[in-house]
Amino acid sequence: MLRVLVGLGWLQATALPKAGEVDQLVLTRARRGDYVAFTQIVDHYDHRMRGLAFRLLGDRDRMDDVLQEAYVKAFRSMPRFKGDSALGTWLYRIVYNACIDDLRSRKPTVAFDERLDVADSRPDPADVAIGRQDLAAALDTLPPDQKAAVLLVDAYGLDYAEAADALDVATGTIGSRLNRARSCLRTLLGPER
Amino acid sequence: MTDECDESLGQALRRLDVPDHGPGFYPRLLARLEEEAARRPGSARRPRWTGSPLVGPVASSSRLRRFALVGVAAAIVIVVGSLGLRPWRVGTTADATPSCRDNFAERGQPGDADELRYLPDEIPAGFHLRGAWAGVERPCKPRDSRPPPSR
Repeated sequence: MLRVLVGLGWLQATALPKAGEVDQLVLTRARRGDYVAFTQIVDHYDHRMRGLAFRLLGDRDRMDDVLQEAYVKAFRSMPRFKGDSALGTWLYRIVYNACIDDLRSRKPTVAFDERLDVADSRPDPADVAIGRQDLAAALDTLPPDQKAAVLLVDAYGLDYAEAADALDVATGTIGSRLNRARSCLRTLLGPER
Repeated sequence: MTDECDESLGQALRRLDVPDHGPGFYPRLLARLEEEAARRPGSARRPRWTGSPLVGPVASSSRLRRFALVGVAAAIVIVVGSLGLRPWRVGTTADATPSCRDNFAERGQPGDADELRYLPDEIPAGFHLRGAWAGVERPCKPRDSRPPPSR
């Protein structure tokens, strides 16, 4: 299906965006507590953070609530940001963890790890999404960790090491999550892929 | 393992709708960031507070410290002044001149106790300029016969 869409030109204007880093001066000011400078950082990364949060949470209000908390937490933690990883990677980690916390808190009756196991062991997601042929719906069938991996690497262009840093897992784990996610999505999206 | 990126899948994922923030998201975020910045110790950004610094919000604690320091300094000055701990005696030239003149008559020069701080044009007749004023001792030429100004 994706190949068909590419052939129809639907995907022409979606070259992989390069997430350039924010200006060093802005970063320095934000680390010193200048919240106006921090809003420039938010502007720079917000679209990607929204994409990640919305895909993980599936609801705009929840996305907004989680991003509020994540941005405030990031601003509070700015003085401790040493630049060991890229600023974007660091922000992804904060937003991802906030989303996972939100998912956990809203389903208190099932432990999150158990839920991941359920997600992995449930019937082929293709059965759920079959007939819809819709990438968003297919993506929704993935567990959050796979969803985040495929978004960070394939959609937002992080390399495996950066994605592993953002999701706080080993690099090899990113590879395996990607393989499972892509395989699942290809299955759901039809034989063209 | 290679860092392979599924470009066509990535393009499709980026084309998925991402909703904008709801109304009020940015003002709320800005307010929270401002509050957070004001709470940060040593922040240059203070909350907008126009009332008394003694009853202001939490962030006025440094202002309270400043007021306290000024108060302590003022108290020290008052106490020291009231105890008379001044290292010098203050008197009029008319008070000091007879004593200095007597000492000068006895020893031919002013004594240690007769170190007087005069302005150059206030040196009474018969006295010497010393130290920083003159560099070396030299007779001070009387300006006129007028009495030393009382201070």
